[in-house]
Amino acid sequence: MKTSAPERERVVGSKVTRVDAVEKVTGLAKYAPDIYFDRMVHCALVIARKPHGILHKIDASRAQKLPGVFGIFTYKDVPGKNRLGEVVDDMPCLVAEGETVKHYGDVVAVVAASTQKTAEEAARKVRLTIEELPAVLDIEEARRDEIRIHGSSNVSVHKKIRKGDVSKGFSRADLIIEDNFMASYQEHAYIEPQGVVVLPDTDYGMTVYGSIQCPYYVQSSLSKVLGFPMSKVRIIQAETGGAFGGKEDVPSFVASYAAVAAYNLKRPARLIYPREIDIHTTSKRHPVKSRYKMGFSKDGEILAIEVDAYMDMGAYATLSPVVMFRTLVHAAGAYSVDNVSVDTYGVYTNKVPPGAFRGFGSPQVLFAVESMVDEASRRLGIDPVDMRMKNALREGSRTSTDQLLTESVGAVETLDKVNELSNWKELNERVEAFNRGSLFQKRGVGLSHIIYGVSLGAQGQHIDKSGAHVQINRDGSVDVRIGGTEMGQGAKTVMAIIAAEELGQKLSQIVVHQTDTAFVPDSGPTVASRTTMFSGNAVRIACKSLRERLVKLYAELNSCSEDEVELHDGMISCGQDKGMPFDELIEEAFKKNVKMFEAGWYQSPVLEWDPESGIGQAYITYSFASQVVVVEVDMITGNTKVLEAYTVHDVGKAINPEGVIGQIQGGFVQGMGYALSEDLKMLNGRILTDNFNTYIIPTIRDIPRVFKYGIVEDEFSEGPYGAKGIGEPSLMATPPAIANAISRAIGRRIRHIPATPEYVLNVIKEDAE
Amino acid sequence: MTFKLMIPNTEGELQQELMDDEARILAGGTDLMVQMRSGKVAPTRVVSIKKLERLKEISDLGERIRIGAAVTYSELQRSHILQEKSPILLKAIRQIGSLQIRNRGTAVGNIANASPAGDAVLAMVLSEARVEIMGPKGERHESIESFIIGPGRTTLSTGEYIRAVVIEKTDDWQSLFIKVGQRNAMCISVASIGVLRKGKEVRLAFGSVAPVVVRAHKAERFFTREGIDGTKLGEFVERCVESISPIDDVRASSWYRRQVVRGELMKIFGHPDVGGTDVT
Repeated sequence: MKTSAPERERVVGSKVTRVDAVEKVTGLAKYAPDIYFDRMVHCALVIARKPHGILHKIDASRAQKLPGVFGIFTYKDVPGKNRLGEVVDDMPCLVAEGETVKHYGDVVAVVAASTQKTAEEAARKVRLTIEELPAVLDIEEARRDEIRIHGSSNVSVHKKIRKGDVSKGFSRADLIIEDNFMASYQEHAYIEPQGVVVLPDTDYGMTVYGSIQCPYYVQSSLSKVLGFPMSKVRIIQAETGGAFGGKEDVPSFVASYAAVAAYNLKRPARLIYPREIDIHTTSKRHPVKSRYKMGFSKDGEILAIEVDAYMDMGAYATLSPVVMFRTLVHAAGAYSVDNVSVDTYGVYTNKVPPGAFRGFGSPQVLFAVESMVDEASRRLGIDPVDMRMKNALREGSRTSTDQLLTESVGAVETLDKVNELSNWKELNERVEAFNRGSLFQKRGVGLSHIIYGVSLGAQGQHIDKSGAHVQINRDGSVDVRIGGTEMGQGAKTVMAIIAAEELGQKLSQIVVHQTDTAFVPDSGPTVASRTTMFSGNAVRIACKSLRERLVKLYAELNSCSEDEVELHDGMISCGQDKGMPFDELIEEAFKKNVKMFEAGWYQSPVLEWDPESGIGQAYITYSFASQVVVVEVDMITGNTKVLEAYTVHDVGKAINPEGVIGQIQGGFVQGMGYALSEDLKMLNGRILTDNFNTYIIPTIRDIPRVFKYGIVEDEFSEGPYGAKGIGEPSLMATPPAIANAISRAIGRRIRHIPATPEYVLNVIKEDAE
Repeated sequence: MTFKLMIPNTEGELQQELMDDEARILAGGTDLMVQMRSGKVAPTRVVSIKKLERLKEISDLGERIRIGAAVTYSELQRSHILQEKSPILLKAIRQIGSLQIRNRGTAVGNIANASPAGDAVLAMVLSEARVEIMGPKGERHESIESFIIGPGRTTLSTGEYIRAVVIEKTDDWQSLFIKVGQRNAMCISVASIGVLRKGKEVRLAFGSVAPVVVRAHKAERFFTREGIDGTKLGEFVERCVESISPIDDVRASSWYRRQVVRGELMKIFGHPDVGGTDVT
């Protein structure tokens, strides 16, 4: 994209206060539970609470009698199609009598009542007669296909990459390593649970306010469930207290349940999930079981890589096929390898359906491949940094899908920088010296180097686009409307920075509104670390048109050359003139009927991709990261503490550096929880760890005392000001870095995450290999 | 779930309120509120003791310290008597919950809750605590070990409440408290070990590895009688392990609990130079 902004980009890259900080800190921000309407009913869900079985009867008679119960709605009350699922619609909205329940959290009925408590009490009184069937509870069992959950096989999705010839690669190898890895579930643990308010609106349709990542998904899903045209379904995103992928497709389900109540009662309906219902019923990170085989030359070159990865899709496929695309492309890691064979499979089980989660199917395999590379560097006696450096991607390299990288490849620079930032050599010596003097505590240094394909990629390019609407009001204040959403990641601030940069208005005069499907066209989902790039480009394009009109107007009013007009920080000037405040120029524009609104639109460049061979342009570009951590393992308890962390990310360009740092820190901590303590335990398909007393996320006391980061800015020509994405890669580097550090500390390989104290102690106590 | 909140002004009124089987005392509420939300308990009457000033006292009884039922962990941490005379209780408290929890939670509440994972309970078991109970029949005293009879179960009967706990001063003992949890703060013990040592005398207690916090009386006597030199150490540790009966639960397996108890004891008593500097 051609840059027409002046050479001084004063707002982009500067330190600014988050535009929504004050409201969020003082409690003025409105989340879904803060939104009330007259005659509003409160909803609660009746869930199956059996992993597999035939639902013979739903008996709501006792529940119906409770005072304050307005209605109990089942599949019979769904006005449109009783189906849900964004990518594969294999999930019922409400399970019908005579059909099978397929997991513990399957939703059977929606209760509406005068209070939340009454609704919950009534939900407990609805009796379900379920004839239990044997349940499929793990990947191996599912693969045997003795019990089938849908159709002819439990293994229903398969994707592959075939690049070069792996057998040739292995035949040339001096070292071949084979190993198996398991990455377990992770719960999103957003601080705000799922929640919506659905109301019959003034356009004779339905409006939804909710904690939502992807309003357009909710709109299309609701239109099907209600049997309404999309024009009669309006989604307004309420302030959203964290999402991490957990509010990608799930709010479509939540809103559908509430909409069934709102439709039948013709009243506003509110459905806010208690934490336990949220954990039992909503998506997670997929468990992935993988087998790796890699061949290396003795000087550390990766000659071949072969991967099989099985992904537990739970009871319904939902987003799994697209999650699996990312698993496929990232399975071979961040390296230039000539011979690659990857097979990924999606497997049905009678468990909660996992879906999107920061990293989207890639952290599981990046943990595995980086463990393999670490093991190779250990066995070959090559320094882990040198090992990565030897195989790292550079401009002119080809990825595992044979995509030629032509620009913005900051991989090597992240390695160089993390080497320097961590003082790598000295750090390793320091840790070795500690270990010589310590019997019960052992320390280890772990390195990871990862790749992240930005935005939706080849298999999602048909929805990879974004719109924006920018309007300057008569007083000079600016309304920015985007299709992406703010969910805590800082999207609003980035959009305001871009608008301020392009229009020359003060940042404080720019309002980025809550996303509303009534104002901006379908902009795809707010996922895949794509908002800065996609919504950002759309805002920038709209602002550029407005800017051109303002420049022209000022030049006319002041008889000067358009080339010399500058807009900055609320002032417009030309050459040496004393200039004019932005607001006054807008007043002039209004008097002259100059069009002061504009739409922006940005879409993905076309990617060539062959799904048969898995060869082609998988993503528009890639972000890279390298990370070093130091852990201390207690050899008696197996407990791991992360003492130091050094992380370097190639983000293209940091439009809002404070926001980038926030993402780097937050992603690290979430990745650390995934790597160490977040152990989702189940018994017969029921999640036991259904609140934060047993599902253990890190606290501030678990954060390493030494945390240093670096930012590499290898600009990407398609990105606004060169920006790529940081939302997901911030997490992805951490699990392998920690796993490798523990492996080095205890002298045994970690093959399972989370590496809980109990797992680590098991590995320590295993007989010597 | 509806209940009446009662805030008595005197202990006499408190006793009246407690004559109802469905009444529960609210001190800090850090256990009660959680149990009410989950439906584990559903009292019709919640009786707050916040206005009972006498229950907020910490008193020095010479050889012993008396801690009132409404004294919070944070207040104990700030108390000079406790700081000087009960290092073991302070070490345990430091590892309980978070600052917010310690600002609300009470040591007596920890006893009433009778969890095998009670960190303060463990320190009080080591301090030979006696529980001061008031009830319709007047005052009675019971040792903490006999007072707690199972997970969540005590000898308290209808109308009775714990007025205070009286612990021994243990400043002349070396003390050690080890908590094995799932993270560094806000965690519940997966296993905990407390040790007091004075010359040839030792006191040992374990948390989260039996239905109640247990004292290893047999092992203690063995320690005094036989010592732990040479092969005696292994024998001593096995006697300790005999006193525990861990189960598998959502936090850890019984295998893991046994491993860490055995491992920590070997470290504490077998490697004074690196592990057990506090007690040996």
